[in-house]
Amino acid sequence: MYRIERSRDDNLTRIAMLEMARLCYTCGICVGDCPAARFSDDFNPRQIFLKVCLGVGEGLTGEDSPIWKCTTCYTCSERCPAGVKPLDVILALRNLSFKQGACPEGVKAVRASVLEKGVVGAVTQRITDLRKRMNLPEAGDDQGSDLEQFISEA
Amino acid sequence: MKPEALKQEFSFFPGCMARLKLPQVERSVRTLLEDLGVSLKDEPRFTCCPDPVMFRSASRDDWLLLAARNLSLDSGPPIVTLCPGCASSLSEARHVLDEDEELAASVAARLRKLGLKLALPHTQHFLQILSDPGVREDIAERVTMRFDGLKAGTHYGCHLVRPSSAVHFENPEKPTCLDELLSLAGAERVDYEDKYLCCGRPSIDDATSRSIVEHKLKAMKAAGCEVLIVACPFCFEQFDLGQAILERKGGSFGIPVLYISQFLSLAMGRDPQELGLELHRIKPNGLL
Ligand code: SF4
Ligand code: SF4
Repeated sequence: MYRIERSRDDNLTRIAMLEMARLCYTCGICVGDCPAARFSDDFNPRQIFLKVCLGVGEGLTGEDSPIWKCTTCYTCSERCPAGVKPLDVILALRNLSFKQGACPEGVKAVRASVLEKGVVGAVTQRITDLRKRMNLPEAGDDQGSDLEQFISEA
Repeated sequence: MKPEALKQEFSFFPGCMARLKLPQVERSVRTLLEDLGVSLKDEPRFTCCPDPVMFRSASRDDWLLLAARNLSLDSGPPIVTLCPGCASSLSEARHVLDEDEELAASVAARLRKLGLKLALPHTQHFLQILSDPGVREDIAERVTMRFDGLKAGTHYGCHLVRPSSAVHFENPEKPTCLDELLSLAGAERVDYEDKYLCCGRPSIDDATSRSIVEHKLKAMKAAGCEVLIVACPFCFEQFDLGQAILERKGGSFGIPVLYISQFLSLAMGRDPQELGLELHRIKPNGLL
């Protein structure tokens, strides 16, 4: 598991667990079949990985970073011949952005919903009726009562 | 005789998307598995898996804790999911905890405070059960409504087979199970361009997500797909609702989307209405 931390000057990102920072061959295999790279302009998993390794990851965290374009399809991590896991680096950068409070609203909303209710989304009247008609168990949304406390206990 | 794969009971993990947005998908999966004689057990304390995309993007540590809680709730039967996201998320958490003793010990200590003992039951998508040769034979024998010659595209969904280090199901780049299951009812496989490309849905950037789904729908149409078969609630929504949105903006595809369990249940003689087909945005009426 990669952990990325902010370095002292507070602008750069670096990989803290260096033993995991394999040597990238810069072969580009991870770029060729990356859906986010193919279907948008400024997304490139190899570049993201190398920038983080070289400590020049300015602009890779925050709401406007390209990291949010990734579809988490795992193609890059499956195909990399060097054992690099570009998706893990992207997720670590996303975690760092969240910690800085600078991530898309959607991510915050999903997290809040899970911690509060245990599920993503709401039990609407429509869904209650549909489930009843289809003979499905009631959809509870109160499994989350202990979750916030559970994850916050250090 | 009951196929070997069905001799045990499974803990059923419906996941948020089917539970709260696509009950027809949950209905069809339960119906199919029950018709095949799979015993399912409900665990009302299951929470979101948690979501390997959005929730994990906020905190990988918290993702691992909540996944470990779900895995440990019912330290009994293996878990079966209807969503590849749930199966992949829980399998990856299991893999991480299996590989890292120190981490597992600290997670176990946290779980003890909830009165739970860390357990790592095997977790799989229901398609893995359907890959058993005995189960396939059984399905083939029960087919009463054939779809001979129907040109059926398939979309597998990335998390169904990846990360392969944790999921261990099929070829992680070119799975075949959906196409094989379709052929049991006579449908014809279609190899459209970029068949194995992601549906785009989990991208948090709307423009990226839309261009990918539009590209895939165009490729399916060009190859003559009359129906699209999926096995993921998120892919389902991306192709059904996503297609309806593109059509409102002038696109024209007309490709109804069925969950594999809906398709197989129809083939096994179940009523379209009980499978909730009328809830789909792109109406599958032409198929019936
Ligand atoms: S996981 Fe993300 S970066 Fe990797 S190939 Fe898929 S979209 Fe690209
Ligand atoms: S596939 Fe691996 S080695 Fe090749 S460029 Fe990408 S990260 Fe580097």
